[in-house]
Amino acid sequence: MKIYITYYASLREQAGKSAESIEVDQAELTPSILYCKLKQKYSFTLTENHIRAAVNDQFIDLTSYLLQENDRVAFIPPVAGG
Amino acid sequence: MNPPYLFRICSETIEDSAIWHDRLSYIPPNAGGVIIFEGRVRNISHNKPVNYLIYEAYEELAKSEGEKIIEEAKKLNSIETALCLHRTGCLRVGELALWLQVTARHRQAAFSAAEYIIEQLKKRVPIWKNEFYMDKTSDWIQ
Repeated sequence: MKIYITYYASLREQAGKSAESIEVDQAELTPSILYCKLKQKYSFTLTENHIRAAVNDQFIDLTSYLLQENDRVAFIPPVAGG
Repeated sequence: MNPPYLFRICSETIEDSAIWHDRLSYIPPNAGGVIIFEGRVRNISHNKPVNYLIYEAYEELAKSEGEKIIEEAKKLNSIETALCLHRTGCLRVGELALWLQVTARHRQAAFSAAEYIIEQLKKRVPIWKNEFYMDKTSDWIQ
């Protein structure tokens, strides 16, 4: 299935890109598992404990949400607005 | 007239936005208390002189989460309106990064709601700050 990923802030800098689409064939893929794979690929310094995730512009649970075809995933580093 | 409870991201100067220009029109006649909070870029951060900073946002989610927080503040406090604008892009020292206007019949509700909105915004809304210092270093604030 195809998944669209958006990176923000420090994750964007470390990935060297702001977005990409990837093909995955793993069943029952959670954002948590996906982040672990990307963390290895891009050497992200943030651990899973420090990020949140959104799918299709809504916050979701990192470990229980099951990704679906064409989902738009964003990993959210610690925020600092205000 | 826009709804009286809203959160918006401004990619340009807040003072140039239509909402900021029309801000007085969002004060209803029954509002005896109006709180305006301005968050501005400080010249020192983490003990280092700041040159400029860059705010980045996940705009769709920032808007929905910001409005969710405003709805929560409305349930917790008897307020009449709440408008919040947050800048993105490059900001110099002294520039307006955040503008919040809360109105209520009585001041205590307005103070309390304003405090709630700012506190929750800082914890939950997907906006990031990259500070650039005079010594040429920079840091994502986390």
